[in-house]
Amino acid sequence: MTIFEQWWQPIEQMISNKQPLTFFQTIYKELYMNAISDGRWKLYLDGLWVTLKVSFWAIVFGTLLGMILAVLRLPDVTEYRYRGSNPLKKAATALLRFFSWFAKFYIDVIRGTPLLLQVLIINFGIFGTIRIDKVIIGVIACALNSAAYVAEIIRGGIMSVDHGQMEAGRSMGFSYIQTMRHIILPQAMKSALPSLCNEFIALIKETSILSYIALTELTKAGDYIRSRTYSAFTPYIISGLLYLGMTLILTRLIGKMERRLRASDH
Amino acid sequence: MKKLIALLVALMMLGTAAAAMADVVTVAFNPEYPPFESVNGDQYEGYDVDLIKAVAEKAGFEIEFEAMDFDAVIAAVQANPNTIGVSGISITDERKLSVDFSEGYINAGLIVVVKKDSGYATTDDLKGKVIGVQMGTTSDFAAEEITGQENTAKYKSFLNAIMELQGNKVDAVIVDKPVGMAILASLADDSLEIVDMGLQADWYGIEVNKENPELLGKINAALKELEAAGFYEELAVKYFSEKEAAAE
Repeated sequence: MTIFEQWWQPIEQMISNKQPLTFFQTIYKELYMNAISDGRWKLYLDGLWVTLKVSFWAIVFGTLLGMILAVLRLPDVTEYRYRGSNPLKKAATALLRFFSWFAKFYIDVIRGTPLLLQVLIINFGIFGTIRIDKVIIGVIACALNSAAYVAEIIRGGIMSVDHGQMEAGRSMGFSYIQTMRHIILPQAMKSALPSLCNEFIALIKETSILSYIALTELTKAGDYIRSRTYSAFTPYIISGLLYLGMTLILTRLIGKMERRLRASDH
Repeated sequence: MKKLIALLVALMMLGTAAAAMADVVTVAFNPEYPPFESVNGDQYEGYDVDLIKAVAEKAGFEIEFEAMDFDAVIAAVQANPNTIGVSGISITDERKLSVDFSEGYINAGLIVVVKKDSGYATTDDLKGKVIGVQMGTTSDFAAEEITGQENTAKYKSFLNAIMELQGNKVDAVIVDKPVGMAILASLADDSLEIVDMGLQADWYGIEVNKENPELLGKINAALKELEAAGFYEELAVKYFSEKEAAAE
């Protein structure tokens, strides 16, 4: 018998005798039931791991997709007109305009509907009969959602870079894409970083919605333990502290990155 | 304008104060679980609804229903000693450490819903398979025993589990017998069938705050009277038999 069980037994006795517990006994009871007995702390860690996995890949894919969407929404693209007579270039321009229109449509739809509905539609609709790991469905749903927000953040970042930078790059002989990649985007990312950090933190917390499709992430782990112990709040507080830990670490990391990027400001 | 806002605020405060003062017991429940509880137009109906109405009448207290998620019922009961949970809640030893339960009022039994061509007939066939359940229900406990915690897909509502079964994403769904009968009757999906694997279910009880033993006593006394008067059988006939007949 472990020391935890030894401490627990007199308390359990008191509960079944309907004796009132002291403040500290109540706290120990909640902790024991919701974190110690049955190795339940492992469930929180498993949930934490799933949340980390989903958040990480959703951030990676969401940012990549978001960058593409951001470029498609730039005035350079939306206001581009081809006036020549090369049919191939005409077709390419038409295609670009279509993608640009689609990017706007996509951002409007994704930002204008709740993530919960998107998750449910993706799970029960698009993947209605396809059996794959729920983690993958979670990553897809969260990445698709995050991309729309990231796109607008990065677009804002790009547009905050002085237009002279693009002109300078082009007159140095860089192509549009090269200038974008080597000159504009690095500067844009720097000014977009605080807002991106915001979005990543929101994304980590929003993965809790995935509990609706039976993915056992951190919130679901808490929910699950709660459904066994019927403790109203303790499992949520434990899960909440773990979320807080994750977001605090992320904030610190991005803060560090910001400081390093600022080093080139002078 | 300012006066109007002040008046509105005062009225709202008055409203909440009046609600808190009246000696009304709030019934927290999740009316998405036919035939135990469901919404019909603007009325709540079902086994649990009729039962608690009868209990309240016998014990002499007023009730008002408050619909919420199944998860939220736990917190509602613990937050307010004048709230009880009546929502097909299984009595377990572990839960008794946090809340009190009335005497069990029904043990409806569990059934397994599977695809017709699956050939699953016993619990051994389901070992290692993914079983969909509604989290925190007696079905959930049974599924964990059969296939382990990692293979039990826990949904907020058993309806989602059934949907996943239709989409072949879980291999079976465990659910309360009357609930399974009712949902299959209303779905009319020929590809699904019900198998009775003789699973053990827990008793359902009324969940009462630990700080209100007086109310618990009243409820238990009323339940005893109702049981003696044959009210449970009456409810079973009303809610289970026609639905079962329709499913067969």
